[in-house]
Amino acid sequence: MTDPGDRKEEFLALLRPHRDSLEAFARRHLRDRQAAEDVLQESAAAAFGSFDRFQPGTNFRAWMFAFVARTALHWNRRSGREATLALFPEPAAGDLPEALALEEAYEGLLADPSRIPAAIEGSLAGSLASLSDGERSVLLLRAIGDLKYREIADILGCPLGTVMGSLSRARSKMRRRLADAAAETRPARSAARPADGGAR
Amino acid sequence: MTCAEVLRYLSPYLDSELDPRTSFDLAEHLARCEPCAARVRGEERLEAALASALRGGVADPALWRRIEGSLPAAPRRRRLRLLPALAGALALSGAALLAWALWPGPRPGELDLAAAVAADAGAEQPEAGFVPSLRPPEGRRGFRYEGGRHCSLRGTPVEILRGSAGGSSLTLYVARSEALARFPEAAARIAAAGSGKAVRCRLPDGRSFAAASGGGRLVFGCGAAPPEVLDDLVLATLAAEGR
Repeated sequence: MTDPGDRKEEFLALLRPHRDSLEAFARRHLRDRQAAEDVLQESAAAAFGSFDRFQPGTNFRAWMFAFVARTALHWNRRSGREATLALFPEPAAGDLPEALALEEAYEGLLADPSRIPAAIEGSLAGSLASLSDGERSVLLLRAIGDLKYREIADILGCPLGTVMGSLSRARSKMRRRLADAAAETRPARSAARPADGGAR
Repeated sequence: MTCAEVLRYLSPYLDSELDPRTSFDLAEHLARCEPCAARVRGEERLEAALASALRGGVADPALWRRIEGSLPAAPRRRRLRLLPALAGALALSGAALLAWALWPGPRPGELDLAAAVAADAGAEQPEAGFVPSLRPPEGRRGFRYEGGRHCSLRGTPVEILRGSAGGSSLTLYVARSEALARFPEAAARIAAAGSGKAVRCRLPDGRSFAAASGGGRLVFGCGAAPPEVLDDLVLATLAAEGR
């Protein structure tokens, strides 16, 4: 029979390479530091409790992310965070000049990679907060978990099409916030152009 | 494919989740349309920066020490009698061994590109009307072309050519050299080998693998043919005039 201590060490050895990603996922998903730590602790305990059902040779990373993602979603439902988030209205579609200005700002950002870090820095927290729980889960499982659409669908128990739709909406919202941030940090020469002045 | 369609498929394309045919068409469009190619490059940079920012932040080793310390000594024990427990353990070990034996993925020391080829099921039917952009001269090393299709290998659009040489079946893959960005080990080995040379290794099932790049193209292949035959066919394909 396997020594119980060996099983724990085996679990921890599998877990260690993914700890940073799991922690980043929890912190980005929940924002509240204490909640993130509680979710990680709860997830690790639940996963270890089910470790006998883990199939060796399968994707431990996806298996572990499933525990953290489901616990985070459950935590948010329990704490009513989802309902709170839903109270924030989506930014209005805006009139055409504003939409064009945003598109221009976004394209300017894509064309000038040196401005990307500042735009992300200025918009990341707000853009994540603008996502629904489901959208945030899908986006983070893809970006941090590096999981395939099928794996994300299995974790969240939803159809593949829902994953693709949620991811597309999440990215669209993130890019809108990025465009806003990029417009605010636009280089002076470009910002001084008459078209921009009229659009803003 | 139109520029508007490129934007529509952008998200799954960046995630390597697009179906092989659409992925191939999109890559072909990007090769011809610089504005779209620039947009995709920009989106790739942005997506990488976003992922990096999301993953960033200070990890807390103390948190994980607490978590590790809080775990019990063993997973939750189910009340199993000795015999079923032993049977379960044997079944698990057998499954693990079987999974290891059948796993077509990367092994230590194996090229990443070869691992992707090894994982390719390779059972698809040839595509009707398919004309490869490159192929080795018919008859070289006894090569006989049997058909091909568009496909996607780890999200990279490729053309697959099935054929045989000297009675051994083999598969050749043709892609744009940019595809090497997804296979850094192969890229480094090919760069070290220099132009006009193929790099080679063995797949887990014993088949030979060879790859070479030049003139904006990447050609690789695998098969039961001797390594020198495969090398020659890969290089001959690379040197062939495109359609």
